[in-house]
Amino acid sequence: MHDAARLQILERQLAGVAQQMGAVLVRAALSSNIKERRDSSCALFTADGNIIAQAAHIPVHIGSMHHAVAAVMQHNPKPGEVWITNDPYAGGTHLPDITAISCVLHDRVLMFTASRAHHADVGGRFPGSMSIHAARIEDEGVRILPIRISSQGNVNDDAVSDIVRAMRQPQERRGDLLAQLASLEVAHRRLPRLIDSWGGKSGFETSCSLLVDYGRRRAAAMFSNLEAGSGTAMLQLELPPQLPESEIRCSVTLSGDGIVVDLSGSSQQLAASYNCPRPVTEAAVWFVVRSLFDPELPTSGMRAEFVDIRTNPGTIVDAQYPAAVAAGNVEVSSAVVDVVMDAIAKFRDVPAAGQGTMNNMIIGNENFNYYETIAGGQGASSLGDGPSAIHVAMTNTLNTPLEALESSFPLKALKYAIRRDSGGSGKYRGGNGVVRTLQVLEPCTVSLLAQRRRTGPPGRAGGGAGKVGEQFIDNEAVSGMGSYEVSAGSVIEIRTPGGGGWGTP
Amino acid sequence: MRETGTDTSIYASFPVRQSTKYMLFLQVFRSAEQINHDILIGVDVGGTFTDAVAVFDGRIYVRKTLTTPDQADGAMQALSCVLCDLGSRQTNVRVRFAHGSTVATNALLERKGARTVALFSENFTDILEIGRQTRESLYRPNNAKTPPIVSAASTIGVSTNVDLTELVSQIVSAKAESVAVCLLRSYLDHTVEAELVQQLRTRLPDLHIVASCELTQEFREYERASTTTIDAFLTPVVAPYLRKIGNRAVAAGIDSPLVMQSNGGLGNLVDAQSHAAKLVLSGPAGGLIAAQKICSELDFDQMTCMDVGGTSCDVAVVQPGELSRNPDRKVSGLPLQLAMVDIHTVGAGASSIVWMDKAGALRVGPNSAGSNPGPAAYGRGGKQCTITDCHVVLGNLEHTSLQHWNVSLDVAAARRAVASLISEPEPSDDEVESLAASAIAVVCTNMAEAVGEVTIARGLDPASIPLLAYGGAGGLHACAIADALGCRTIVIPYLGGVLSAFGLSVAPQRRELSRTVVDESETETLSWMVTTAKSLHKGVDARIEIACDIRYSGQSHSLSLVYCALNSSYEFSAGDAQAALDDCRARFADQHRANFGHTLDAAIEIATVRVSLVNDVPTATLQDSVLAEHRTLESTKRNTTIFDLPNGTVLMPQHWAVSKEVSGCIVLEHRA
Repeated sequence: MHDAARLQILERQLAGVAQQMGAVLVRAALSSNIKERRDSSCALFTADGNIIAQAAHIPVHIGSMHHAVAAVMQHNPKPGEVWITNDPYAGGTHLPDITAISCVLHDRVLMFTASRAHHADVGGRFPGSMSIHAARIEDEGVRILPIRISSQGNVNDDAVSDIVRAMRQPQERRGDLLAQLASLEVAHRRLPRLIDSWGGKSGFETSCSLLVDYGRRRAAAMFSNLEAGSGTAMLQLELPPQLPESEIRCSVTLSGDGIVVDLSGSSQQLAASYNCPRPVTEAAVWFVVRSLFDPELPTSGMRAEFVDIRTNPGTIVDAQYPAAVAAGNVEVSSAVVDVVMDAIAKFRDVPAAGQGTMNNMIIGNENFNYYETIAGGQGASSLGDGPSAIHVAMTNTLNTPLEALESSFPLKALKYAIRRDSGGSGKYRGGNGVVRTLQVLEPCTVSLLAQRRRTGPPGRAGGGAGKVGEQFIDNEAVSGMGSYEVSAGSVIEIRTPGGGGWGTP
Repeated sequence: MRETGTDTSIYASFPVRQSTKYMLFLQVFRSAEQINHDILIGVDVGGTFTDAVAVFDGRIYVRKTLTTPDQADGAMQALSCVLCDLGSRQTNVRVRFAHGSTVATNALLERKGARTVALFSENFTDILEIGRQTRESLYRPNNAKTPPIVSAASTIGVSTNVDLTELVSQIVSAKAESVAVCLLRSYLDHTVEAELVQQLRTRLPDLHIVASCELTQEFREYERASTTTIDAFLTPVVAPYLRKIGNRAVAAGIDSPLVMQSNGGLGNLVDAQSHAAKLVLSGPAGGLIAAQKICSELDFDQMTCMDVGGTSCDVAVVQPGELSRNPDRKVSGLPLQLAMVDIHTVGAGASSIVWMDKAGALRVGPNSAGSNPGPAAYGRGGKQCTITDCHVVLGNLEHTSLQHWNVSLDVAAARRAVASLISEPEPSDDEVESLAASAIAVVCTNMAEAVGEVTIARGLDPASIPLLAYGGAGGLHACAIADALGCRTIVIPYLGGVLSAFGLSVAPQRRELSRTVVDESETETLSWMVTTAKSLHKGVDARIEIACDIRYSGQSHSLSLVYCALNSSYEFSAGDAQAALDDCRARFADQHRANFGHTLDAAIEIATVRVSLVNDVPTATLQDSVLAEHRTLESTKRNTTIFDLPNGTVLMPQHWAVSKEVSGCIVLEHRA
């Protein structure tokens, strides 16, 4: 058969395995986070730990998961075992994202399969385990160093119990972990036959290396067609007042061989959760590369040889123990996207900034945890208006249907609407944000974690900025970075930022 | 191939209009005791062909005509042709005319519906535009979202104390032809919504007005609103078509047609005219009914079925009993919260375009050459290489029944199209053939992965399930796909090219109502079930079927379990309802383990209950059926046997063998 066809066939088959893993995870899961919002991702890795297939789920998960696989590999996992970890310093993103990794051995071919899901709580000091009040990783919940929880299909119930006991709603956590194991099982069932069909070890490995070469060629072709250039940009993070001013500094050099993204001049890590583990930073840079240069770039083309990311350990883009990381994963990662886009915009046509935040909202008490990331406006581009009410960068989670949240949680929906005229003006308008208003029916803690509350997402080529995000508790404006104790009957309203406009109106 | 003894063999010619080719073959089957005195006719309208199948007196009659711009013309033509074939046998018998149509599907795909105004709850008028807040393509964040059926400008927010006069004047000034009403939380209590619709109907008698609760009583406001607006948008354009075909049928002396609904049951014409959203999968549903029949006749627990046409490949899993439904389906980028057959569609078919990407990978689809210009080999001006051209280059279609359809194959054009993908100026025959074979392997992978979506992703192992391949190009790809899936049994029906029409002819009638029951007491559920069964029943001789979407408390995705049908000769009681729920609960844990490999120590809850009235057609068995006219030609190339059935070519590599011909099907088994 033609090599050209082998590539397509193997790529499609492996991506199919990852997709089917994801489908099983969503269908078996218990928490709204996974089953409604689909905050989860699945991928396959070769024996040397390189990603070879993914299901297109959440960008921040996918660009970072190979580091978690590498961390588990250090423990010499055996075929048929399942390991889990959420360690942000070893390939994790933030503690709620727990990754289950298993190794499949068939005909001496070793592959790793991974399933990552955002758990609604991991036992942090505040419900949802994503508060900005965390100063150290210990405040954010249980840090699970790589541990074996299942072997040859036998789940180690004691190990699972030890882990979930420290978390809120342990039964739900257990159910979600089992759903992750069910998704890995899909690959266990399929891969042996798939490997056989490629002629066992030699045939399969040859074909995989063809696929890796193909990815490399795609990436090389992509860069060789781009015009060289360089640019710098800086983005100040919006932080609570007690924290020092911090910024991400970025310089980008694009050449025919690849791109250098130097973030080493960024600020020191903070005694708060605005710290990005390096895998998350990498995922953000890759998101920019893929969306600006080739949205169809195959997973196997995501190779470090083309994208040289430079960071200094101990900075907000390369967090080290004991830095807290929850906001780093969701918010600083969005800022990394914006600053890299900005630097590239110095020499290329790039869309205006999108909302630049996930507008994280966590409402909960000891009985329940509701977590939502709220969409906003996307920036306009030289081709047209920015879409409204959409996730723009490192996440793509679904909203929780209002009728689902009312039936699962003591909450009542009062309003959910497009925030009209919040997108920046321009020849092409930025997309509009949304307004989401909820009433709590029990005393709760409300935690908000957001950016773009002081400066709206900037426009480009003369376009205006999008409106800043706003939030109100009982009609009183509050900060977008804080935790609030509210009584039954309180009303929380979030208005998310609009995207920047493009071109002079 | 087995020789066939037939009592009749007809290849007669009938006067048909130019450009309308026909073909006819008879199939004899020994009917069971319950000889049905009705003539059962199914007419299925597809993109290229309109097929009619008639089942009568132990025989199956088939007609194939070209689809006409107004689907009703082609449908009536196919119908009258097949009635003509029946000849004198049709005196004094009733005709049951079942129709599968793509009118609703096409109107939705092309966005050609009625001018629609949506009424949503105040403060929630943007739910369609927000949708689920996601982007369709992860790395194309600037791509526009799929525009909703009704724009924000045509959406009106209504509060509990709405001024009706004002509302009516707003609707009138928007020049609305149709109105969709979907209020937040109406799945829990639809009194307000239903009353509002009632009042609007009184004041605006000429408009089509639909309430969400008339279509679905399930949670998730965006999906329910989308469903309601789609229904409002489609119904005013689909209803006239249905009325027309009804009138023409009556004029031809037969009853109005029954219409295939997306749920796999036939509905009466009046119901179909009132809710066109229930018809968007009317086309492919018929094929699944036939597949289900074949599945039970061959005594399989399950079959994976695959309908391979020109532009797309539809896959599904069937089992005897109820068809699987998928409540999470999108059509044309829009969700529909209706019970619909669980079909997964990918853009891979015989006319899919083969191309080479920037880094030298051979790709197939999703673009298609369609039927016009079609593959290069059709000689209608197509230049791009398609899968059909690859088969032509390999000689797989030399004896094809395509000739019946007046298509002669231009081999040179096919070769040019394939060669255009090779960078060398004068590629050898070997190179061209190798590329063609590779492209076919790629498209088969795409189809096999589609099968994975309906099996592996649902906890089923496709290797252990027989594969039913039909549609014009099913037999060409069946063995390759089965090999990719590890599947060892393939079933290819004689009627493969017209299976949807056959399915229509033998499909049951079905009326169904569903309700989310999570937030109510069991007493309420039971009483709703009893009332619903009674209201559906209305003295019809049919059975009641109960299906439960059931899950662990806390899950959102349910498993659907069916409580086997109750004969309705007696009253459906609260006791029956209770038995149905208990039965589903009792079977849930096993089903969960089968699908996901584990069970949970959590409460079980029933999310949705569906009550259906099913009127089965007592049809004869296909068991001893044989082809009346054996058209099989066999040849062998590259260790592959090629044989032709009346409506499609079958490629069978050496490691496969025909194991038997039974129930109107050829069964292939993997050797060793």
